[in-house]
Amino acid sequence: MSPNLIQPNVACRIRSIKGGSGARLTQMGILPGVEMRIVRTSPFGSGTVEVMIGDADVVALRSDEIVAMECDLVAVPLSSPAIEQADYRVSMLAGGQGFKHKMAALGVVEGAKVEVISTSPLVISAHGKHVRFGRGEADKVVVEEVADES
Amino acid sequence: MNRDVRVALASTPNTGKTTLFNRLTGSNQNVGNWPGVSIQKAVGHFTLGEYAVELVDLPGAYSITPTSEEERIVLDFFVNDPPDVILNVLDARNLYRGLGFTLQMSGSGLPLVVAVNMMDEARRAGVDLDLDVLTEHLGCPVVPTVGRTGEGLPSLKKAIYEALKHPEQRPPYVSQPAVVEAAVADLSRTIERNNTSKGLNEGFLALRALEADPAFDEHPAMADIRAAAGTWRHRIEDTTGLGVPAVCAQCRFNSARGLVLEATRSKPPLPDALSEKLDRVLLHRWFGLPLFAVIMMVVFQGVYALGAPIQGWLADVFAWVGGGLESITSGLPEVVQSFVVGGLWQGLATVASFFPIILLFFVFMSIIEDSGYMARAAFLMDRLMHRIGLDGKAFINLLLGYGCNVPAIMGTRVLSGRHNRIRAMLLIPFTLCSARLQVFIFLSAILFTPSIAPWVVFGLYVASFVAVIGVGLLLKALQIAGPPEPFIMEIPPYRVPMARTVALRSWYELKDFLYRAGTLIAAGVVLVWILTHLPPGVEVASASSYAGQLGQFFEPVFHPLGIAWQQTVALLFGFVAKEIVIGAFALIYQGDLTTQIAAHVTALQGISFMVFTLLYTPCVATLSAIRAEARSWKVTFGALALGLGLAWSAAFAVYRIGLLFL
Repeated sequence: MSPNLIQPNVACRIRSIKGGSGARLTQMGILPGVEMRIVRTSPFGSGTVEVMIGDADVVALRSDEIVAMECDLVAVPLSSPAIEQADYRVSMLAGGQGFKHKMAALGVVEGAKVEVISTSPLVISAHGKHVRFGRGEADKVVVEEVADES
Repeated sequence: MNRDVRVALASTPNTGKTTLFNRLTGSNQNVGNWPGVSIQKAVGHFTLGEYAVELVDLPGAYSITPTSEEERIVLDFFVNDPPDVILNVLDARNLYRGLGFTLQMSGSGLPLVVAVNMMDEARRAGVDLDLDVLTEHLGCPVVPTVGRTGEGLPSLKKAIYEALKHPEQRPPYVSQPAVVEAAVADLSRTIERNNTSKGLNEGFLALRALEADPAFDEHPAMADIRAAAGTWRHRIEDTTGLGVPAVCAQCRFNSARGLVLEATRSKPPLPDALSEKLDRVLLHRWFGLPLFAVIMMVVFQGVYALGAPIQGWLADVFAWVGGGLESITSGLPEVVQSFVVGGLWQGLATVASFFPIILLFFVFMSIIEDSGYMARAAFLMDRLMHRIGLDGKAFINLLLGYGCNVPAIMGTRVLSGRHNRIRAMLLIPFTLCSARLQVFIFLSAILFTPSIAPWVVFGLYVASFVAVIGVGLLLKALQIAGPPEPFIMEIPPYRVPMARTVALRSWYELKDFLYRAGTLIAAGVVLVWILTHLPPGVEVASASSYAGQLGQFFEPVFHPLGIAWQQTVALLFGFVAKEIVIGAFALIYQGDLTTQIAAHVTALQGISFMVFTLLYTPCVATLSAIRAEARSWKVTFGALALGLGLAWSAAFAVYRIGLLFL
């Protein structure tokens, strides 16, 4: 995974594990095909990353180890560099009740479809309304790509 | 007649293995090291019907395909010294992680008993397990337990007894790619023909041969199949595009995943909600570190502010008994009397003076570890510590070194990997402990005005930080103790620590300190007594004593630092315990200490002396602790040489540069 993609709430499926830690991760059952979600990054510049493996297993490792993995992104926050001008589906709102209410008023709820109009500044369209997002909000809106509509 | 049998306790880390070990063996256990390594080995005993069971607590391991020193010990133990029964522990909330290892061991041909531990937490979290499914698939008894309360222990003991009585079990089938199956079948045939399995399953040995870890190289089975295993290994790599360990891990964990699915009746949607809530605060990007600082301050104060008065009280008791000893031995020749009181008794007193802080240190360390906060602290500090070649956990050791180096060194056993342990042991002696602080406060008060003295002490703290960071970078650049192991740390859920576990642990650490470091410390104290009191008839620490002679002999070495031979003798005393340097001055410069020191030592010489005191040899107790933990004289002497070398260079630089300005 590219280093600039590492941020909380990014979820991905591991395709292959390389680097010095590969052997250890493999013996811990962290294998290709397993889904991994970044829970948080450490202070002092995100060198250490807490990830959730599968749905209950929390492990800390260094970002170098994650960079050495090949992953397919499953879900990313709207603030991620992986976001392009395209359609997405909201998979999670990583905020409190207040935030969820505010987003709901804009039509951004879990499962809703949104369209990214521009990435910088970040403007999305939800229910036909254009909304501009700040960085803090964009961090908390986690979206997944919409499968091909064919 | 009791029959002696051996049961090995093996599991992945964080399954409550140690709690279960304590439950089974009670207080009947002893702690040592695995031969030649700095990894703790605990062995306990209990009786089971007609069996006298020796329970060996193996280090936590994710598999017997080693990726760490701990796992290599486990592999070595299973193939070269197999036990009668394996007791495996699983975490009820995370069966998947542990089952990979369980499946590996179930193929070993040794009878296996599985304890599914922490059932209470799993139940509370809403996990509902069908353990009969596991029993059926694994072909061995599976017992639900709660190590913290002792629930399920009778059934577990019964299961172990049955496994000892009827060791035949049916190992589970783990499907593997055809090429692996063929390799295992071929190699097993050779092992069977040559009868080199020593009671282990041939297929299990064949897999170990394919993985070819150095720990398996000595095994008799390996000699006949080394070449064939090499050929098969290449064929497996060509066919699957992966190494043998990765192929086998995938097969095992695929089976494990299936087993977990079958054995889980219901499961909560989220991981532990309480832990998640707590982590949102304790690992917060901005609040996490200040909270960590507060917690560390509480621990530091808890250990040293509570420990110091008890230490003082102990010292009084020892002085009082020492006084009594002096009158009892008054009939003996003066040298003998002095040896008994000032040498032997003082040695005992020095050992005992560490008891309170070691006990308190491990009480707090166990609480931090058992509560789950240790992993969080490591997560917070890892980025900084990584820069000086350590991982996050080592920060706590370094910090507590600023109180006393001895427990900080003993605490290195909680660090993961030899690399981290050795490096932390080499760095901790440069932390400015409270004994050195006493010397610095005392000397700077004599040599400097009250407005400057605190800045001198502050400067010495800065020098200590610089030394720790500098030496850390140096060790990292030189790759001392090998390249770092990858940092992969499980973050366990928060738990309330159990008083019983904390108390037991602290008690064993104290006993361990007494056995392993006690004699060496006492010997060091006696050695210094001999140097300063002999040959017979000399005035203590005078020019004609051995110490005085040594001081004068080394004068050319210390002269460039502005350190006179009398001060060299004081430094020799400081080897026993650094705070003794002050007392030594009183012995050497007879008369009023303040005026004597002010008359004999200039401010610059004083600074040079303090810099030397900060960095030079760790005290005898610290060195003994390093020796006991590292199990290596090389590391112990490395710490000694590193300290002396750095102290000399730093004092030289300070003194010579200072002279230019004065």
